[in-house]
Amino acid sequence: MKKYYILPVSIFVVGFILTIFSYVSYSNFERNTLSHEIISQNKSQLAGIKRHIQNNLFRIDVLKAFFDASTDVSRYDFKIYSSALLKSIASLQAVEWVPKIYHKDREHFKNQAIKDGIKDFEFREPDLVNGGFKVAGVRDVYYPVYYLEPHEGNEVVLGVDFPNMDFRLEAINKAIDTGRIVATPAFILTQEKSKKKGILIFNPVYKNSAKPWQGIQDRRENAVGLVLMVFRIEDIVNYVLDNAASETGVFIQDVTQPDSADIIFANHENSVDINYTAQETFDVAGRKWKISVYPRTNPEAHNLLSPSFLVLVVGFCLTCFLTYINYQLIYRRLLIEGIVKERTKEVRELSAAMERTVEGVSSLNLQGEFVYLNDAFAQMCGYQISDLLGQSWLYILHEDDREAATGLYKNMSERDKQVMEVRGRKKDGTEFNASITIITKCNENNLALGYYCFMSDITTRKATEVNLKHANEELEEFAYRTSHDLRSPLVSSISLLQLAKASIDDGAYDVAKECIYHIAQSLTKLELLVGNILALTKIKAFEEENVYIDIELMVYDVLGRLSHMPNFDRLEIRKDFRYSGLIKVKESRLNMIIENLMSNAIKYQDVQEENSYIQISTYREGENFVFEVKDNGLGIPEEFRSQLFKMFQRFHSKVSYGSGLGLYMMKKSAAILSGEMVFVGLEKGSQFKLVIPLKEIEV
Amino acid sequence: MKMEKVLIVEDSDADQFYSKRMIGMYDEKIEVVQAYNGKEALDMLRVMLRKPDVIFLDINMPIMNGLEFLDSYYAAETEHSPVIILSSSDNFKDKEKVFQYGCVKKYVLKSLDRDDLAMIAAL
Repeated sequence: MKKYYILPVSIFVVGFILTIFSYVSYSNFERNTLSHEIISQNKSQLAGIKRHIQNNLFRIDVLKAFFDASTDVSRYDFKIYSSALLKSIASLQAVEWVPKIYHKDREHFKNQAIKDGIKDFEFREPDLVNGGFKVAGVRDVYYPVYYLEPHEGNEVVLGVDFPNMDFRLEAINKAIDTGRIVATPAFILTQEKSKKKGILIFNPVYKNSAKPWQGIQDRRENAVGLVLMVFRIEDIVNYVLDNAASETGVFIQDVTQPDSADIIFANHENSVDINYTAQETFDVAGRKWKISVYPRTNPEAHNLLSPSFLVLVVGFCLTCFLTYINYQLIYRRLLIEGIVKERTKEVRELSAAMERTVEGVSSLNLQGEFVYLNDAFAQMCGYQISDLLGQSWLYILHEDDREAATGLYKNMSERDKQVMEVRGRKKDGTEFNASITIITKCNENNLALGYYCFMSDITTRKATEVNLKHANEELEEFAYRTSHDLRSPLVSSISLLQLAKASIDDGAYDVAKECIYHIAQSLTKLELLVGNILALTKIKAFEEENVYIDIELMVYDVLGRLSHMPNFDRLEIRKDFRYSGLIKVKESRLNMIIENLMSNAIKYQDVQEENSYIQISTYREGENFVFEVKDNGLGIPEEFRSQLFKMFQRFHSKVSYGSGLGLYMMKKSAAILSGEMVFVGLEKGSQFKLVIPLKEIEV
Repeated sequence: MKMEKVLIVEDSDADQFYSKRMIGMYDEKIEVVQAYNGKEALDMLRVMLRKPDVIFLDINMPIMNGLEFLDSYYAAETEHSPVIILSSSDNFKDKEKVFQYGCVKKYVLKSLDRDDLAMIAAL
């Protein structure tokens, strides 16, 4: 199991345990409460039964007192008093007067009874052989039922003595001997048809009841009879339980004889649940009754709506719910973690790419201040990233371009993109050219949050563009001039040839000669031009290796070649080779420069000057090698010096028979040698320098 | 167009010679004055008591070319002699530029011949 799922499993286990614990605790609490409640209720019922029995015993004392108070209680008196008693005690079945009748008084009592209106009164006793009753046999003492209430329905027992009913006789004797109320064991009453048990309670009545008794014999001699109350036990119980009879179980045992306890009442067949039973043993007219009161149904029977069961169900549901929620949260967390991890990886890769990219990438807030920029961006401007964070992006722009740049991005729409080329200003103050792309940064509701600013350094491209434009202009100029300068001498020559021919035809030979002279001049000029154009083409196209040459020897060689030029001899050639020896250069390029410089110096000498000279020098100037040609010739008029190294420039009318390409070719050749041509204007004459870094030529 | 005095502004000796010869052959009474570049022409015009009736002007010249001459001529003078461009260049840009100046009356390709002169005289 993965560690992520430990928590939900733990929640489930802990929740389950807590639920069971809560259920058990609450069940116990519930059971204790219920037990306490039921036991209290049962105790109350039990106390009611006990109180009812004691009340009945008290009534029998009152009945006895009635006999004590009067020496002769008539049947009518008994009827009146007993009827009132029966009405007030619901559980009382019958009230009887059982006189102690000696055999000698049998007839008297019989006659008295008949006299009282009981026509067929007779002393009787149960017929144990034939069933029913028979005339009582002769014996010393009779204890017949003499008065009886209620009379109706009970006539059958009137006059009946029960000499064979031992427990009755025993109770009678005990009552007389002790002078106390005595109850018989429970038995099925004679006139009872429902087999329910009842008890007889005897209370003895004596003559001179107030006298102090001299022992049992004295009591027996003075005993006149017994007051008897007949109770059916079920009626006692039902009277007390009333409405609760159907829910409450009552179990009564006669435990007077502990080893042979007799069940005298039970309204329920279930066994007694000791947990909820109220139990008490107490004296009932000389007998010990053990009464148990208990609930008929099991109070612990589960009710689906019982609080403890609800606790169980709710606890279990809550546990499952919390476990599920936790599982879902972890599941979603893992899902989100996975997505975040993936996105983070993508962002890191993207960031790494952005950091490494040569493009400058930055993010601006709505005020145009940097909130992010990569190394490339900062490096393009010559700053550290920390220098620019929080700064306005206009800070890196050239002062003249800031207004235009601000106007460009301020009113951009959400999906807009602006591209512009601006001049930047580096930290060290130098300028650079940049291509800027600005995109609006929006949130998901298309509200602008700022801008993305991408920057490319296009300084090199711009320079290339300028060079290309310049080269194109040069090429255009070259094409124009070559077409003109090539055509011009040809047209002149053709026209002059026609004129010469016509002049010869007319005999004007001088004119013809002059024409031919000019034709020759034109063609010479044309030849020079074609030569220079070829040379220029060669300069541009020819790839040449560096070779070791001796600059002094080269100068002498060139001078030798130029010595046939007009007025060469009148020039003083001064030489100053302070830098001598071998240098490593492209020979033909250097040779071309030296030859052109020296031929120009010869060509444009001032023939009016008496001491014309050309001074040729080589020397080291700083880290550069310098080849210099200085003269006191015609020089270059100041207003033309800026045009000096351009194509087709001639500065000396009439004496100028050059193509106008010489200095231009020198400049190109110098560039190929990694050097440059420098002109120094003099008051008289010119000074040209070829300057090449020493590292480019040194051996 | 009256052609009693003409100024030829041309750097090439051969063309100067040829043009002068052709003008002479057309009408030997025409006075021909020669300048070898624009600057020289301006200097001459500045000191001339009788201005030329026609100026034959080349475009490609050292020191000061034809276009530069026209610029300076317009800047220096209030009255301008008619100018005939005499060039070996058939470049349309050149034509476009020179006709910006009101005094330029014609663009003639070298070399000058009798018909050209007759046509100029008829202007």
